[in-house]
Amino acid sequence: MQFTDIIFALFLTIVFCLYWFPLRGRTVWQNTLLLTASYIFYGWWDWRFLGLIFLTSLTTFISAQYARGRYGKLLTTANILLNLGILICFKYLGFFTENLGKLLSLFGLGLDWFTIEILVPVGISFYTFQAIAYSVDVYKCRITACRNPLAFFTFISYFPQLVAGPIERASRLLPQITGIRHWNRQLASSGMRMIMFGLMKKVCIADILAIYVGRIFSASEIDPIMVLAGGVLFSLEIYCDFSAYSEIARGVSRLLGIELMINFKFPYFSRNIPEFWRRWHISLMEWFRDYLYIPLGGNRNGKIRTAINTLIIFTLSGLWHGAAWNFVLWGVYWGACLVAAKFLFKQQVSKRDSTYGDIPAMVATFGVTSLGFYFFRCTSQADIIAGVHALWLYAAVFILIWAFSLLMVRYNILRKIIFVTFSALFLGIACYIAFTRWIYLLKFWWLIPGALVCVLEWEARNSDYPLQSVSSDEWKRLTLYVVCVLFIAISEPTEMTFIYFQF
Amino acid sequence: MNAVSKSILTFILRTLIVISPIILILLGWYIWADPFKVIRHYDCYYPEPAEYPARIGINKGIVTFTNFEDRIKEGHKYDSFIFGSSISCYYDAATWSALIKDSLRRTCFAKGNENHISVNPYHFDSSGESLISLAKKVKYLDDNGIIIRHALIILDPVIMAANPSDSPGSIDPPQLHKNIFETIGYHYTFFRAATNADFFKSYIPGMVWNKPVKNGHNMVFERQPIKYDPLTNQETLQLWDSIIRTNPEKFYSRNPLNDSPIVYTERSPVLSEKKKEALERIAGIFSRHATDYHIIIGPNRAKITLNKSDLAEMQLIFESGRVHDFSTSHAPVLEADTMLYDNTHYRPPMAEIMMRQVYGSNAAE
Repeated sequence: MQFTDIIFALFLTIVFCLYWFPLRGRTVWQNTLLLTASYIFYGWWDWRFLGLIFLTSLTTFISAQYARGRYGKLLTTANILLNLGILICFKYLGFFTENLGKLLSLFGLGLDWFTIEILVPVGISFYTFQAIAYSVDVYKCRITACRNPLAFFTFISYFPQLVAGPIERASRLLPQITGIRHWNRQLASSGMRMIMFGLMKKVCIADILAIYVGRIFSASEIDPIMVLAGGVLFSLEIYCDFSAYSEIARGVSRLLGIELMINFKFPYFSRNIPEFWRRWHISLMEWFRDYLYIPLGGNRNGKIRTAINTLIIFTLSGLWHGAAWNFVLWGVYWGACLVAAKFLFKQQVSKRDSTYGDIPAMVATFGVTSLGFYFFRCTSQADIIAGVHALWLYAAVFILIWAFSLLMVRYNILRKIIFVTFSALFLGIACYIAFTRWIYLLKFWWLIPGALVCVLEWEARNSDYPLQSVSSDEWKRLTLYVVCVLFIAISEPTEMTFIYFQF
Repeated sequence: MNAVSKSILTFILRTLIVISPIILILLGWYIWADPFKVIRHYDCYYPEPAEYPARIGINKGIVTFTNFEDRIKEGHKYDSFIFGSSISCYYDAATWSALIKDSLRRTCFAKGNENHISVNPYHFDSSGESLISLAKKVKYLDDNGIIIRHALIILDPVIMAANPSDSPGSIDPPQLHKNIFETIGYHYTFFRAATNADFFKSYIPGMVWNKPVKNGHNMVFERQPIKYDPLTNQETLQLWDSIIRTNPEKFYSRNPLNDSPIVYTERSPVLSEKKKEALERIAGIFSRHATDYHIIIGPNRAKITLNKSDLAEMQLIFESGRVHDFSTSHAPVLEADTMLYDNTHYRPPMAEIMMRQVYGSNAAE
């Protein structure tokens, strides 16, 4: 059951109505409903994996009860190892044995007798990390162990964020689950706005881009222009896909009176690499920072140690995404970029709001990002090699765009001339197409919601979420909402799952 | 009702006010236009291609069942059925009837009894027919008291891998639905298919220019100039047959075929437990009806052949001599372009070669 399925809309309607009408104010019953709904939601994917999430919830709950006792360290470690073991078994065993086999074959040895094909449970990386974070927090006395098994099981399996995050912290989510939820119409309305916007991004943009990206990466040979197009388009696809899921998850949760953390803060409007990693998949990066980077020493032991720690974190982050070398390469790439950005270019996260003057920096950052995502999407060694060979084109194109945007930002008169010229050109081309090749306008209808998303996200780039501060005029708001609903209703049925479900 | 409940209801109402207009407009258009011909009953599902070049591709299964029910109401009594996917469309019902009669004359009846031989054929096919849906169709006939005296099942190693699908072209028609949820899902499938941007991309220019247009990812309009015989539910492509006979280069330059490979590829096994059960149900019904049946596994251009274990399973399930695997032996015939309409569908002459071999007849020229 995906967020974009009609069956989810029916499911959510039933859960919402039961939650707020007969069960309002009864936390225990509401949590029972949430737990049941979460297990139905997860079981809909594959009922065989319900046992795993139950096991993770059970072992984590029990070990946390005794985490501060005499054998606390042992129990916590055992729980972490068990859950990591399950994760490794399901997600990485095939990858490790395949590569071990290749390594052994170099020495004339073989591992042919051992082959394994395991189905990876949806969302296992997310709820496992959530459980591990809870275990560590309890052991380190950051939070007290939850004594309520119902609340705890609901916390681990909470369906809006179960299969693709955000990876919530117990300190944020558990109090909301154990506490009374009060109906708040403004919160619910904002939740609906998030759901609507997320759906539009997913079905009108991400799913369409996926078709074009799929064609590029399934070509027998990828030339440099295809590398550039593939990187840029996939960057847009994965952002629209993943951020859409997070927004829908937050929106659904707001309908239930529960606030989830922000997972994406308009990352493609980042002005440098450090800022990008404060805006992209925030929950995962915070997890790695708090549970790996800081225990490894963080940035407290000199520049070299900091650089090594950064590389380790990003390599593991790449591996978290999947059991394949392209993900590892992506992680190493980003580790190297972040180290270079911090130590060579002295880039820091800026606290001020972004403005039009930051566009050149955003362009440069996007160039680095999209190249990384090209490698992330690669499905073969040939694709990776093609990407390396296309580095010159990538650099050339983005340097040109960066330089152009810099001139536009700095020189007012130049901006006006270019604006008038491009507007006239655009109008001329648009009229020509409208009168002679109008069917192509139909073909690229999705550029309209795409442009709408760009504009709305730019307007909201210093806010919490898009549509946060829509027009105060009720008719303008209603028109915007109806337009969004129209685009969602006529979206093309491409049957694409959310990308991050595979992690 | 307290203030909180009122607030929640107000929220739900406002949400519906935002969502409803668009949904109602699309629903209204869909009901009025009925582009896939699933809402209302039609006397003619296949209008004349020359008069209506822009014809939306419709679900053959719906046509098969609706037309069958209409003919039964008129008093037609069918007893011989050709089952299969769209590949089976080009097995000529008249030729098949003649071959059956010839076979009966030679094997069962003395010469004086020819007048009692009667074969009333009907194509009981669907596009992309899966074995499970095929079994449902046989069961439908059995449940409705239709005696199946003769049956011909047309399969293909590639199509046999198909599973029941929810796509508009292959979804089971309402006559096979077991409950209201299937019917709701069926109508929802067509509603979505008719109200999405990919459909409109082709539909709007197609209607404006009155010609089939492919402007989206999916084909909306029917490419084939189908001539339809409602008495036998038979589709023929007389225009294409004529062009292929007189000017094959012109036809195949517009409809190029893939090269036929030199090597054969044996398909991996496709008969899952569910598919075997479906075949067993078919065999059981045929046994009760004492049906004279044959199963043809035809060849294809890509030279993908039936898996040997699948063939062995089928020979176990059905009676001896009933399953005819031509996927290897007759594949070289499809190296000739003129035996095919496209990479998937072979023409009536190919079908006739296999039917004659099965029924062992040189008559009915």
